[in-house]
Amino acid sequence: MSFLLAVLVLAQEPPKKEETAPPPKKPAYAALVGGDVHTVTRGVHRGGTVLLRDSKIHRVGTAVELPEGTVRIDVSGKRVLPGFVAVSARGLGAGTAAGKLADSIDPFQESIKVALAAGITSAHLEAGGGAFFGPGSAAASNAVVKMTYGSLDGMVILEPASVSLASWVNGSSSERYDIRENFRKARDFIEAERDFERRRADNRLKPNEAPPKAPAPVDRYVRQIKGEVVTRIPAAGTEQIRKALELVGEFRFKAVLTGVVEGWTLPDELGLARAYCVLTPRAKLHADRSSNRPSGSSIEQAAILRKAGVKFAILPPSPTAGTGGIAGRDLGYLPMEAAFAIKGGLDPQTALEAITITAAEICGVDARLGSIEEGKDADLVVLDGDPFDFRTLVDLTFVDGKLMYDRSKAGSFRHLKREK
Amino acid sequence: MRLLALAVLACLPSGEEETALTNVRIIPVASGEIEGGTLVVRGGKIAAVGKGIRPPAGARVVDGTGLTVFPGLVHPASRLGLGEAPAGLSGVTPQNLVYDELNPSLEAFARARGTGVTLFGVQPGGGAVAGQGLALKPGPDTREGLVADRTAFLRLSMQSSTAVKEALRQAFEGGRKALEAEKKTPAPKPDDRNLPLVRFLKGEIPGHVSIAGAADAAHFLQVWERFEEFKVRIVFLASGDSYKAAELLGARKALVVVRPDPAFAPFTRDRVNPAAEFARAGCVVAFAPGGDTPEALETHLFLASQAVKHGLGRGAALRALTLSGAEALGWEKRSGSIEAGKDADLLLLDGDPLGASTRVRAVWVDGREVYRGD
Repeated sequence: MSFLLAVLVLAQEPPKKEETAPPPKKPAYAALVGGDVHTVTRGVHRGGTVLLRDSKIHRVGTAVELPEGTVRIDVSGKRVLPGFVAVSARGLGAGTAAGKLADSIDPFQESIKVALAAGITSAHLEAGGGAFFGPGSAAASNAVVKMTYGSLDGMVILEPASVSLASWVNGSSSERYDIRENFRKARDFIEAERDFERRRADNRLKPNEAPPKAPAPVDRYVRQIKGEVVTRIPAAGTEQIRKALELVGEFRFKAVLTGVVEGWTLPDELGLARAYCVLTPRAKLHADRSSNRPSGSSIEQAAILRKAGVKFAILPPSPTAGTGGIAGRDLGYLPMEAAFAIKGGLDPQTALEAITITAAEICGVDARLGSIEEGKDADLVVLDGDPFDFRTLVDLTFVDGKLMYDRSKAGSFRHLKREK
Repeated sequence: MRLLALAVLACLPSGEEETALTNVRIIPVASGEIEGGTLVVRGGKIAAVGKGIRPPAGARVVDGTGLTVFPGLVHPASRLGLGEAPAGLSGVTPQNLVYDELNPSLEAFARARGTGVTLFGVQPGGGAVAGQGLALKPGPDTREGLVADRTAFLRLSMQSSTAVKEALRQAFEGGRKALEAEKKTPAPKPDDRNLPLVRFLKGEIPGHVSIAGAADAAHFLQVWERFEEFKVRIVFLASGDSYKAAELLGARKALVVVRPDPAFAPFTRDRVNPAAEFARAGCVVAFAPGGDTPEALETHLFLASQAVKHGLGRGAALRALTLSGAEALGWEKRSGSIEAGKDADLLLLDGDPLGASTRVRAVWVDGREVYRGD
């Protein structure tokens, strides 16, 4: 445990600015040794090692050689997992000012500490768009944010991360018309762009011909179709899901349906459209008795979607983290929400993916986050048991290779002594 | 003791003559305390201070047995003589002078004299670059008599938002360009708008940055990253949970102005003492009273004693009341401590400055008595 202390001190040291050109910095190595490493994407290494080099995962396996000077952290008997990813969250540093979220984010918000204590290392956040525009409005900005408590360095990793098309399902017909028109213009633009590239390759451009440029807001739709930014559409019921899939089917963009409840009634359509879903497995919705089609919530939704090949992330009913609220319903218990999906027949591996790699994919950051792989960000959690066991606690949380949470040192769980 | 002190004060100076105060306890702040010392004041300045100094021939000698001499207090973040601060968001008005808003006829000045503050930094309200603040001494009752320096510092207001960060970046960039233009020959006539920024970037005047929380500190430093080549004095006027950024600011040995009163950490019943947090992290701490009302000013010394009770060093607290405040205004060479050559801005107390029952017996500004306790 004294090694832990050393890392903790290391992590809390403020970044120093060099006056002149700094000499090439020697990499800092730390290793989590002896635990069962659940990589999520590459199986489990029993009694394995995760070697960190600065802020990245350097080596993973059972026969990893540790360079000289590596800080060894013994996690025998524990499980090492990638940090959990919350696909949507309130608070966690998000500010209320208009403009870029990166310019208003508060790395000192207490809820970040609560999230770290729950093993969450990154989240998709929405900022308010000023006094009259709450989160969810068109003016709200959003970003994928790491829980780098106390420092802005490396905190915002993707902005904007998504576009909300709530008005496609909830808006007026004129709003729907505009959305469809903009998608069409974007598709035409992409075709014009391809044509330009082809003619340039064949030297058939007119003299001084400039490449086509998409005007706002068509440029945003171009990025949506190209998959550079994820499109989120709230779609709880069967009708809303159908409506959303109609748009996805026509323009083939990377779509995430959020708050999906009746997805189990049309799993194959969701699978064919390759739409991602965000589920809250314990969400309850009574069946519509006046309807002769299947309706309402089903605890089996996640398992049914899995069989149809639909990818999904899992969120608790309240996407917040704090010391208030009702225990067990918020991000402080993210793996417990996934456990509800297991209760409904989902396999634990997919449940784990739903709060790690698939969540990262939905946020557009799976190249960096969501699994324990060499070269990925060193965002890790050390658990004292099965992630889906209600007794399990987070022992350590690392973000960018820095120890950001240590249950034995600080936080609400410090006083808990566990029987071996 | 109190009676004796009163008797002494009955014959204190009123003007230009040379005065020697003998047998007093002196807390110079910048150096060690002196028991039974002598203080010589001439022409509004401190001429000599120490133990065993013989009063100069012809000087009026006053026996100060029972009295403690302490530098006059400094309030670096005041709105004395002004109305409510106008709220602004991202406005850039460096040319604004708070001097133009000052109302010298306010009763507040007369009452402030008895509270022991001898140097005020008066803050302009407004946007991202709000304007120039002034240094003010509670001397004679005219505006010219009060104002010590009408362009003492530049006031910036930080808010964690794209608009304010962009406004500050552009303002600093404008200052940098004007500074480069100055080096050309013939130098162009300086623009009123850029001059205060040029003076700030040259290090001639301090820049005061209000931060309502730790996030504001982090975002300001992110803006300042591009301007690190300028060796300037940045003073952080810190409130809210700014103490969480203590490490960030301490790494730069930043000067931080805070209210002295301890608070509670969020979500806990743990006392948090912002002043001590900043000092521990390596910041220089200056105290600002909780307001400009006589009540707020009068409880200032008591709240400073509470900061000490909750973990701030006594030396740091005494400095925070005086010299560090003067430093925040760029006045540390003239006021804020008892040293030969400095302005004779002094408090005569009947006990320790942090003692709960201590009273201010007299206040001197530039060697002249502006208040006498009853």
